[in-house]
Amino acid sequence: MSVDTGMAGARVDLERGSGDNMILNMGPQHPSTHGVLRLVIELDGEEVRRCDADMGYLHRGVEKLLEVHDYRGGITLTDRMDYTSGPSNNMGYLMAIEKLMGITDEIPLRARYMRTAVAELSRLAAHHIWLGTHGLDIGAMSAFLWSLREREKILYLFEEACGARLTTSFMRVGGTGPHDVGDQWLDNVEAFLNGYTLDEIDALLTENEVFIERTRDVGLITQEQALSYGLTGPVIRGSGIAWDLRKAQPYAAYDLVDFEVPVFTEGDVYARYLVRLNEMYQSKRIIGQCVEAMRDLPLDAPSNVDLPQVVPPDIGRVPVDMEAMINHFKLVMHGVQPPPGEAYFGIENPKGELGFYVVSDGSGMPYRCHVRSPSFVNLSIIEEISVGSLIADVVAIIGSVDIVLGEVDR
Amino acid sequence: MLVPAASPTLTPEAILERIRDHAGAAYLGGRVDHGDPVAEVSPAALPDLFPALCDDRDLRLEQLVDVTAVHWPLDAGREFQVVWQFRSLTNNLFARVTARLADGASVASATATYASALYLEREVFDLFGIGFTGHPNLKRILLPEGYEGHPLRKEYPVEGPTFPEDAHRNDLVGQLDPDDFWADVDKANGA
Repeated sequence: MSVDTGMAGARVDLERGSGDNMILNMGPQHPSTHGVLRLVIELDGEEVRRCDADMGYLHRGVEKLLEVHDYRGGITLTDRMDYTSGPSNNMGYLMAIEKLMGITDEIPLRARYMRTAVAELSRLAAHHIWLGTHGLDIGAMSAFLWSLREREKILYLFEEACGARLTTSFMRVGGTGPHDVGDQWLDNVEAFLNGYTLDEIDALLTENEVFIERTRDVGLITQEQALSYGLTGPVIRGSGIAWDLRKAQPYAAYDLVDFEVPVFTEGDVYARYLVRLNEMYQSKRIIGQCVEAMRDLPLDAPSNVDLPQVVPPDIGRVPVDMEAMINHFKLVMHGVQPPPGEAYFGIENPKGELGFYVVSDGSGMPYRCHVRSPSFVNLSIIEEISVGSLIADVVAIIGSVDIVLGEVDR
Repeated sequence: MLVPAASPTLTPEAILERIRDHAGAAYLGGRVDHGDPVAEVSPAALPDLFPALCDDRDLRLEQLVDVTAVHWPLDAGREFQVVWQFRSLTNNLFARVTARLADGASVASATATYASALYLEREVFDLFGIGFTGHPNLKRILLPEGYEGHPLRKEYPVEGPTFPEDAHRNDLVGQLDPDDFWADVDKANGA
């Protein structure tokens, strides 16, 4: 039997491989490739000689679609990329538009805290999926069940805030949009935080000899590789580089809250596990501070900018006030219209730097909107670090780089 | 352990000046756009510019964060704008370099300096059809091998090339004979 490997050698005999080596096709429907990633691996015994990643099975042309949707409509496309942390994706897109419009500094404090809290909640949710599936890949079933139980509670909070669990399309340009939350939601978040603990999972994995055996000194990424491959997020912080956009170039309310950036220098799968685990404790800290700060704000604190060309008027005014009616009509028909120009804005998503490069021609739809997705860039290191490792370790490596194929393929 | 600078070590204007020094006559202009330094260079300077930006001790733009392109079909002779976004983690800097190309022209690959270009340039090649000379493995990445066309070009229809033209016309809803419709689809797909 002969198969198309997608490699330079074109067709390779499956039983014999090239020479004495064997070609193994892993994915696209392999459970450990976290979606529809296909890896074509050349094996010498159990050792990987070469690894080629093949992706695009989930390509939906998001960047093309963004060009034919108005800025508000584009929000719904962003949370379908990294679907494990929808609100955080929405936020990156909106903040790029706000940068392009030059209104970043005018976002009210309440919206900034709200965005920070929701972004950290989605970081927790995304890391819980990673923690669960990473453990599952390596053989720890219980971590998966406990992890997704905690994530479920976060999804309930999202549902309460905006009505959707996964594809939230949360917030709008200029603030939180119509989905401002009341004290009840803050109470619920606080109740969640009070009951939230990672100790069970921590006890199950961190000191687990089997887990350590499978992860320590596996998938080593050096500092030089991490820089050259453009890695970001927990992956680079596991290789001894203390780079975090939340600290380096603070956005939303990250300059107003107190948190630490966990860094480990070993560069192996275990170090990346420790980075994410510690990051989750920090997220909990940040959410607690945001909730407290939102409680301290006056009850009538605005949650959207006071700009008629960005935020629609209060709906109660529309039938009785001509100005409001015109304003409402213009915004519904044409949407927000950033001035011609271009802007790039990157946020620290759970997976790494999520950047949006928006080019406007002054109309209500972006002329071009490019997504710099962290999973896509981080995935490229897999081809290099799998070489020389065992086939079983490839599974651990994929899990530790933490990719979401919806975001890789866009 | 690498600990980045707490705040940018250079102003955007100073970054542009350094880029101008490295690019020399190929530097076509620079501006500070929404707080970010943006330099336009001619494509000829790029092979030397990439290592220079990476090694410059004041800049240390050691990460190529993103490569992408914008299509301006009406701008004859310089239809494509290729955009590189750089970051220095050490110095906490950001810079954008752009170059304009004619349709069908190629630009130097950054893969010799930045490994992140391995995937990013393949994506631009796949979706725009821009070639990168010196890339070790330039082939499609998101779309399947053998796919025709480059979807992010402006002339590429959003519905795809094989979609019947009147399929989304609302006035035809209810009047379209489903059999005819699918026959058209099959015909357009070459079945």
